[in-house]
Amino acid sequence: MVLVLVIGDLFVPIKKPGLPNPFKQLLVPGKISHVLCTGNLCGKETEEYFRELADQVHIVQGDMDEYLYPERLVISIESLKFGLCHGHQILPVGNRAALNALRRDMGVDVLLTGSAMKIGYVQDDLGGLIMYPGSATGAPKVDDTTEPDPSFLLIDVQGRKIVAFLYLLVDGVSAIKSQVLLQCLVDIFFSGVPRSLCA
Amino acid sequence: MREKENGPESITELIDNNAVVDCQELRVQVWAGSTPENVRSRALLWQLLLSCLPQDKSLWEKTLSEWRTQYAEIVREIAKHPADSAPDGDHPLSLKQDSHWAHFFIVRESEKLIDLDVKRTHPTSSEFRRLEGPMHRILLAYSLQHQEIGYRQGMNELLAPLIYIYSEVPGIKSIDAEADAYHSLATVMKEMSPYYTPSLEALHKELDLLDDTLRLRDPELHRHLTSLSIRPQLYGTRWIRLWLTQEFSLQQTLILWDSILSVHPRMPWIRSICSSMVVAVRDKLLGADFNTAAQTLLRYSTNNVDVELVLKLAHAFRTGSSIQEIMSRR
Repeated sequence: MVLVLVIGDLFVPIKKPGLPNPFKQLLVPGKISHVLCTGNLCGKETEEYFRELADQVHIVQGDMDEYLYPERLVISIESLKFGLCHGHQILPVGNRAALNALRRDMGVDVLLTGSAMKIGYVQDDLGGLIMYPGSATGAPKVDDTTEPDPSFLLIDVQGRKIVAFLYLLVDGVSAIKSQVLLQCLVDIFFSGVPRSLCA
Repeated sequence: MREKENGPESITELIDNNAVVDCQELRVQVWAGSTPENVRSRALLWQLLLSCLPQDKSLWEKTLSEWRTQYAEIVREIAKHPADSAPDGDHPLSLKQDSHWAHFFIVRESEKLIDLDVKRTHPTSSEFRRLEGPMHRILLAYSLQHQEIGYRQGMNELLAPLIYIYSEVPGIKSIDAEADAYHSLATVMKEMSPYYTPSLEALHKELDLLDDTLRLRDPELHRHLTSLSIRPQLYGTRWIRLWLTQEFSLQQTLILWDSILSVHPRMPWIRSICSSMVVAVRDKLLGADFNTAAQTLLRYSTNNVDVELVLKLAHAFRTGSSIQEIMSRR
């Protein structure tokens, strides 16, 4: 059983001072083994914060990051391959087909991406997953004034099975909604034959 | 001690030949120096003296079955994964008291410490390497069933003689020996938990009493040790907390435990034994400087003192016999 924190688009300190306090209270060391960050931290203090949370920290380049990170990363956890890529490189932004292509191109079972996406997931017809943690600080998107609810994902990986927990800060202050977003066995055949997957 | 016409019954006879075991007679026999004839008798002796097993043997099957079933249930609970057992609304980062996930992480932390200590228990003994799995489960089960005290270093040493003896009983199933040892440990801990709390109050009271005992029995030795600033606080904590499991060979410890278990309340007797241990090495201590004296007491097992001598001295203290007499006769 491996707990993986998927988090990104914090924009600290550019747009937001830091993680909301209710999130900080939950994110304590000793539980999470991997932090996978979709990018746009933007400053070094957030990276240091992640390194205190977990032994394994993987960060990819966002379009407003102060420091340089790889554009893409592939991380193997249990029996699955996770791909990490911010997504600002994909145009049109958030285009489903393009993201599917990226997932196949990276050769991963689950693509984790940020950028314009709100928290959620989609599944393609090959059984691949694309998951988005949203913005952990509720920072607004580039051309937008509306601020989304702060959110992140926590995935429990067991073999090829994942249980993804959604953490959402509602009412902007203290109520945390956490629920199982998705629970399934990830099994991908690249032969083009579609498979129905969920356990 | 009651006189019997055809000589005192052995421990095995006392247990096997009667439908209701006379525990008082068992205590008397052990007190007089009887040793259980075999592993099975010792295992039964200890469980009878701890009052785990009732004196009425017709109740044994039911009693054993009850606590063995109870233990199996506890172990099953531990093995549950929160992903399978957690109800809706519970999540991995939950800090709530009743969260299955929060509980899972607490268990994981305890396990790290237990794992370290189990591996260090009787490190040179191959028998104990085989018993690591059972010891780990028992200690984890105890810590979860008693969250107010949790797991503390030293419990592994108290468990060691119990699991060792019970698993050597001919024909016993490994899981049953484990359950029996769990139950005996829980019983021992009912008495010993005051000495395992973060507050060292009970322990220090005991050590002060040990100091007084030593002063009464051997004023010369006590004066010398005090002049060296060597007080029971230095060497006695481990002796008392671990029921002397680290101070003699395993076989000698078993004899010591027979004696300790035959008495209730135990602490005064344990104190008597501790002061006797100090007296037994008085020749080494009287001539020594701080370092030598401290080492003698802190590494007591290196003195190779015979446990029978220690017990003789402890008995002598109670009857008022002279120490010199005992020491010169050995």
